[in-house]
Amino acid sequence: MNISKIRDAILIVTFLGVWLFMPPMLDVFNQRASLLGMPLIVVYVFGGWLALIGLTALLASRISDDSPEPGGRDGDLALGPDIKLPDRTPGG
Amino acid sequence: MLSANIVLTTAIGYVALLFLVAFVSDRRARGGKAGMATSPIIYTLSISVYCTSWTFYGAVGSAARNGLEFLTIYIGPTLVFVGWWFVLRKLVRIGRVHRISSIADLISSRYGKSTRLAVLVTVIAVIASTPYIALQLKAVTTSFEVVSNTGGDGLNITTGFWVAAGMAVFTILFGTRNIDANERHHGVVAAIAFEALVKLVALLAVGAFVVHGVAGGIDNIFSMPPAERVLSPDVVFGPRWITLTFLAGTAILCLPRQFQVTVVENADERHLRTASWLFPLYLFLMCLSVLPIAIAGLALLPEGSNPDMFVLTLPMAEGQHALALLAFIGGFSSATSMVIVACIALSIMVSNQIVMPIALRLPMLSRAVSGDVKKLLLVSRRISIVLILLMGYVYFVLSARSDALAAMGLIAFAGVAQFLPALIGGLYWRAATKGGAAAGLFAGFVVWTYTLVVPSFEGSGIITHTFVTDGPWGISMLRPEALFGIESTDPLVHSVFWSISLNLGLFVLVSLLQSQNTLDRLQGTLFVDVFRNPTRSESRFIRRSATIDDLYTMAQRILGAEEARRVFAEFAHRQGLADDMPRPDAAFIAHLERLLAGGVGAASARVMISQVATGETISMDELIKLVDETQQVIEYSQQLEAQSKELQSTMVALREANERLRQLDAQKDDFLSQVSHEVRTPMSSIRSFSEILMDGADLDSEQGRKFLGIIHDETIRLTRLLDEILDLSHLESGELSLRLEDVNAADVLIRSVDTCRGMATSAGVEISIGTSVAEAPIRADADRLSQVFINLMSNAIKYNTSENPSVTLSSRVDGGMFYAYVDDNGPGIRTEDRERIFTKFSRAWSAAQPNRTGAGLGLAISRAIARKLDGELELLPSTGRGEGRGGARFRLRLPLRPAVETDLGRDLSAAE
Repeated sequence: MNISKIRDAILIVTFLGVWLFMPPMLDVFNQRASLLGMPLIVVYVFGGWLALIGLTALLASRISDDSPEPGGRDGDLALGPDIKLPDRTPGG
Repeated sequence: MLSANIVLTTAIGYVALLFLVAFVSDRRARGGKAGMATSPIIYTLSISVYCTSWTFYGAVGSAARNGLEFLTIYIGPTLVFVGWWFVLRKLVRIGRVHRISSIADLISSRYGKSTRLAVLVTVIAVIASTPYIALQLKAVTTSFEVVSNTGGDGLNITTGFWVAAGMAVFTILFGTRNIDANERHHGVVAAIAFEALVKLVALLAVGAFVVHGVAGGIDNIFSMPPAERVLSPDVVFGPRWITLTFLAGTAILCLPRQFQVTVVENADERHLRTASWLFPLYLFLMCLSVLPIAIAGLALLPEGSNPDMFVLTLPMAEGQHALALLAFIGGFSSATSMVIVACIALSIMVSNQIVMPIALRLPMLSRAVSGDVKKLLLVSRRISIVLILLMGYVYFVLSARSDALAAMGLIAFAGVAQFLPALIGGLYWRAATKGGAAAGLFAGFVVWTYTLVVPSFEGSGIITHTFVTDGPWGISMLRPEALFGIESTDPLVHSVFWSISLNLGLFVLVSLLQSQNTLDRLQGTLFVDVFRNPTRSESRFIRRSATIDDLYTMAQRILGAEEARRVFAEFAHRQGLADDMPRPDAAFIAHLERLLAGGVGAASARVMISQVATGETISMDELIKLVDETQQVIEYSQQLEAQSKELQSTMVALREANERLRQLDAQKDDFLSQVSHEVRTPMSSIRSFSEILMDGADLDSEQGRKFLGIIHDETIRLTRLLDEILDLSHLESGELSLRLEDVNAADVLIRSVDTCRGMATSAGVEISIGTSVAEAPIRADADRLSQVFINLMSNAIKYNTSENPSVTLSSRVDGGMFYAYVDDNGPGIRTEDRERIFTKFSRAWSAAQPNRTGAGLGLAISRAIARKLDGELELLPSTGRGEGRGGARFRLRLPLRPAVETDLGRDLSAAE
């Protein structure tokens, strides 16, 4: 998967999270029912939460260390050879 | 029962341990072995300073009172971290590139390095953090009293005072030991990370004990009577749920301490990638125990127990004093870590954004400052820490009787949420202005104070009850909790709605009305396009000059002598100078300003530089160029994409062409070897016969003549072959020009038949003319055309093996075309040979009849001629017509002369 696809996936997962944890969806699961010995809403919220974490971890692991920045790539083109990146920590 | 002394000793021992952790990792970091301190795990754990004692104690209390509502505080940040790529990554990048030292620094730096804006943000941050710090003091004090059983009626404010004093000492000792070139505190981060582990373990331990030790299983918990009430489906997930999630998500970005650990202390941008899922996981684990503890607490503890203290009281009620002590330490951890980081962050803001600018502006002080800026900064930070904690303590005393922990925390959240429009707008909206940010912030802050902070003092003696219920001077429109008569059931939702609406509205409105000044615009562009534009080219825009001595003196004051020398030498080296002093050009001044900004904030750094630098101009042209460049880069990359597509198709075409060339090359080789072969056969017979003639004196003359005849025939054959090859090559290369004239193709056909009759008779082949046209005016070279017919006929005669061999010629005119057909009743041509026969030296028939001779060029030449005349020579598919086996049917198609075509068509139709 290339970096811009991962970026899109991250956006989608974020919106998925908002959708999962906002009222209309929560009300769907806010019922007098239980699953695995726990109220349905509790299983839903914690389960959805864990799934969201898993997806994010999966996407984060797909980004390799030397992935080019989608924006940075453009920036590099704009740079002349005379411009050097300063060190964040002097000498460090 | 735990005695106060045991609890106190444990707490002090724990603090000593924290010191050790902080000290060791500070040491290691200074020794260059950052190692552990800069791992993504430590980074994530330090971010979990978000979980304060509000989480540790308050979440259970909140769950006991309001059910699942406590989750919003953790879901909001989870969503922000899940979407880390879009906001957090940009924040961290900007923080690193511009050496941002606090959120006030970020906002002021974005809006033209404005000092006034920095002061405003700092003031809001300090005021908003006060209830939050009070909350921690209250939690620690209460928990201490509960666990050591010293509580009388009401909180002992003396305990609270000592807690505050202790925290001030710890923070000063660790947070303000030195001024770094960038505001990083390895020791503190390590201690915070350690505390994060302690509080997690403590809360999980209590949770595990409650689930397994007390209730005996997770389903037992949820079958306790209070579970029904806590998790009642009648609870609606409404505006309050949305507001709290929004506030929590905002807080993770805007709280000064979160900004400190996430952005300022970030050592490597890649750490954010790990934190994006690890921090939500941490929050998830922290929340696991909350519901069981809340439900079990409600079920098992006596009516009226403080639900905020269930984490402590539940293990105590079960006689688990060691566990209670662990829980106390966990709560203590969460409170101390929050207070330490918050105080450090706030003190940096106060010293950099308020004290420094004042010191620089007052001429009297300014001279004093020239002595040692570092010392001034350190002292001001220490004093601010004490003051901030004092304010927290005062708030704690004033509100000691009121609110639950969560409510106090939420006031702080709503306060820092006022930064959001300016922060996000500054990151993504180039046109956002300083005035807009200031107006929005100020209005939001005022509304927040009036609608949320003021009512929280109700009944404490400062604010009267009637002020809140009836409004100031009895004006009900101005009731703090129901502005303009909006009777919202929830004061928090009400306050957030009004403050954020007003804030955002003014921010946008003023930004649109106001025009940006140059520095504002430059910073806006640099921030918004941080991933595209290199800040290091800042010197392109700001031109100024200063003497190197002035710069050096100033750098020494802030960075320290050694660091300043190193920085200067390094830059001189980069400029390619052998000397240790760089040229004080615009690039160096910009570099130095950024370095100083890491220590004193962007606004102060700018003021300091401008004290020694002269002739500052911001190049508007360059600025416009920058924006253009960004646009150009985008266009350029699109062009590149198009070009690469083009290249790809060119490559495909080239590959095809290459393939064709290769085939042609192979054909040429083939052709040469065929030619040599064809030439060799007659040559060798000529040679052998002439050899015989040369030495054979005994040959009789008749034999000799016969041999000479053979030689003669062979040379003729050879000549013909060479002629054909020449013809063909001329035809193919287009060098051969045909003598085009108006001819009647039908005549040519008849003439050709006559020519072939002799050959046909001798071969015993009958030539017949089928249906033919009499008139077919075309433009052609008659001789060449006749050559085609003769060739076709002679092939039909030569290779006809039928018992009654016959060749039929016919012609017709149709649709402006002249068609001539040559049919025979011979063996026909195998399907696989149908195209091959038109290539050079391919004698399809020869396989069957090797004795027959001929170079195999006839058809190739014929086709070349036909094409030269804009026509085509084809072998028609075998239709099985004619007698016996199908035989072969060749068709020559030639275009009629355009002018006559119509007349002819009329003639033909008239004839019919």
